[in-house]
Amino acid sequence: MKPIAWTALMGLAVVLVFLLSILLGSAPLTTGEVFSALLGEGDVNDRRIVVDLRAPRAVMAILVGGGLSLSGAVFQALLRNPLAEPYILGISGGAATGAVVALALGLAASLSWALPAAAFAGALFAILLVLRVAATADHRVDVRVLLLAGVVVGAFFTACMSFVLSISDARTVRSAVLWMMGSLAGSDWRTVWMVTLYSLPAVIALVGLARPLNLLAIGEETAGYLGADVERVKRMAYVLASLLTAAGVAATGVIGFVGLIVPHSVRLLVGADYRVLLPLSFLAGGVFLTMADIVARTAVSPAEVPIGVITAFVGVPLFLLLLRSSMASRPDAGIGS
Amino acid sequence: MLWRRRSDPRYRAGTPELGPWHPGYPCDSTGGGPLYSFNSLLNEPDMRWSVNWFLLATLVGCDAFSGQQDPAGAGQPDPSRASYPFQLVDAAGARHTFNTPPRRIVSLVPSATEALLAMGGANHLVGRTDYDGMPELAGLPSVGGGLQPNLEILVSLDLDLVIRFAGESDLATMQRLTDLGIPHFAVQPDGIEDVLTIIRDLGRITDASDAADAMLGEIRNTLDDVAQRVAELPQPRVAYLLGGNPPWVAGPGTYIDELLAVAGGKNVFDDLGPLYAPVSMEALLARDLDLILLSDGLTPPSLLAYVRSAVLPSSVEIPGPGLGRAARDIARLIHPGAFDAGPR
Repeated sequence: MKPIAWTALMGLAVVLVFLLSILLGSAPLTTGEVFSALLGEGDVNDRRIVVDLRAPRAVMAILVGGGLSLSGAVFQALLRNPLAEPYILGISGGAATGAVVALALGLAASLSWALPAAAFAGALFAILLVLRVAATADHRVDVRVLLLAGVVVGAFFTACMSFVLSISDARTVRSAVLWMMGSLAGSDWRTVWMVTLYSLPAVIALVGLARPLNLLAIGEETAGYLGADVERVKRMAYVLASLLTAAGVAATGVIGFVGLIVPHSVRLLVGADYRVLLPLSFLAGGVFLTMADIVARTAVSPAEVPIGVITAFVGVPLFLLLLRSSMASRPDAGIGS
Repeated sequence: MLWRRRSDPRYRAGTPELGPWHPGYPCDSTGGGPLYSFNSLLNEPDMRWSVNWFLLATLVGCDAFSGQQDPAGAGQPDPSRASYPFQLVDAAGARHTFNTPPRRIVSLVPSATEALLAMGGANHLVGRTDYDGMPELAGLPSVGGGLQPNLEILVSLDLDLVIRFAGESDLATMQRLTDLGIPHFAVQPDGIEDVLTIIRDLGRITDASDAADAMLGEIRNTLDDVAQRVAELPQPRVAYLLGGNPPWVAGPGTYIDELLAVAGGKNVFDDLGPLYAPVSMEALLARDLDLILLSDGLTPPSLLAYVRSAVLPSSVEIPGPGLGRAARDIARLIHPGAFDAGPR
């Protein structure tokens, strides 16, 4: 199948899961009631449920799932490692810590951009820390050390977050479970616009970097010979992917493994051409997280399962599978280094 | 009658030397915090007497606390009572106007749910939380927990009123309820006075003031009776363990701490900073206990096996209409002898 057909199909899938997401929920609404609510007719409470609760939540799932998945695909290209992913690299933890600190200091209440900006700063700090730890003497990245450093840095940020949550005012920081396992329950149109504002430019810019990322996947030296400004592309891609992760985390907390599951599945379908892989990963990430959220809010209704639990149930087995196969094929595990 | 103010001239308003805990002391009518310090009262030489004064003040004195004016005198019904529309300030400081009694209510606060049921409001409750096990509510849809309830179900129930916790633990829900156009009334069942305020407010709101007043009278009479029975007795040092490992205890400002005082015991954790907190086994050993009271289903810690201990029924821990009974249950365990002679 041609890339354009895949993209159209995935676009259709996004529309379908959006519809599914506003059709399903704890309140027993019929399909007819949902559609008349969408058209601005029918019962006022039905309209509130569909337009003010389910719709922003579905849009948020698409945006955050797409963003996490796209940044996962970009990290995999940059590090030439199939296991790279914002959660495993500790970047989501850094972003969440930044967000929690901004909330605890009361910055987020007075400045609307402070929350995503602090999450972004935390994400950048995390990725710099992890890369610094994993850098070998000849400025290459040892992938085994990188993943280990990411997991340890992630654990460190979880501890920082728990500490800030335990010493700060409950009114400002919401619950610890939200930040550590993620939840889309707080989605309203205002937060949807915030995430759109911060992630859409990054999505467009990253998809625009697909060609140099393709060259980078061959190898940095080769990419340099073929005319890519390797260092500049890498810097831009790291910053943009961190920004994308931070925008999602600031709104929904830490949701792991999306950036691992989705790009891998997409790669199986369309191959490793980043010009196709990146936009498709964004769309498929949206589909995946929306489906995960449907499970999160219907499985134990009226309560909710933290969505990070569901993505981890799917993601961890896949991670272990990929870890085994990459160890088997390359005993030194220094993929691409 | 220690619990009745209006029949006793000593308790008449406006006697300045009685200080801020006196019933006549001006109360903050906008719903601010209590104006007295419980700790300072406990440190006074005649502590028992002070505690009774404290309870008097909290139970009958601060009628203005939630915005209602003190009735002019004994026996006269308050003309504003039960006549709609009226305004009421909730525990979060928000002013509400009630034009008619709300007919479709969900209470996210179990003790408020108990109070509504006890004053005959079962037919107005159209939902429940997962923590409400009362048989009257068994057939109703659940909105999940009392904190972070399921908003979809709340909206679909087409509510006139949600009773919610006033605390800061779930401000997001309050904001979303406002955004979704669902009226919400905040309550804060911390101390005995808070609980009685909730009962009185819910009575007014649901046009059941007579039932609420009867309930309040019964609670006050029972508390009064209990306090009288133990008034002359020495106060054993009591630790009330609420479960958890390490165990949680209640500090000043909680109804449990105040019930212990009514029941003639001394809460050994009356210096606790937060309302409720876990304490170490070491802290428990260091407090020189005379008696350990335990929540339903708990066993005494083995290190404290040398201290007398007793288990309370679970109903004690619902700060609602059963408050008087709870005081009596606790007092019977602290001072078994005081209840041998039957009602006084």
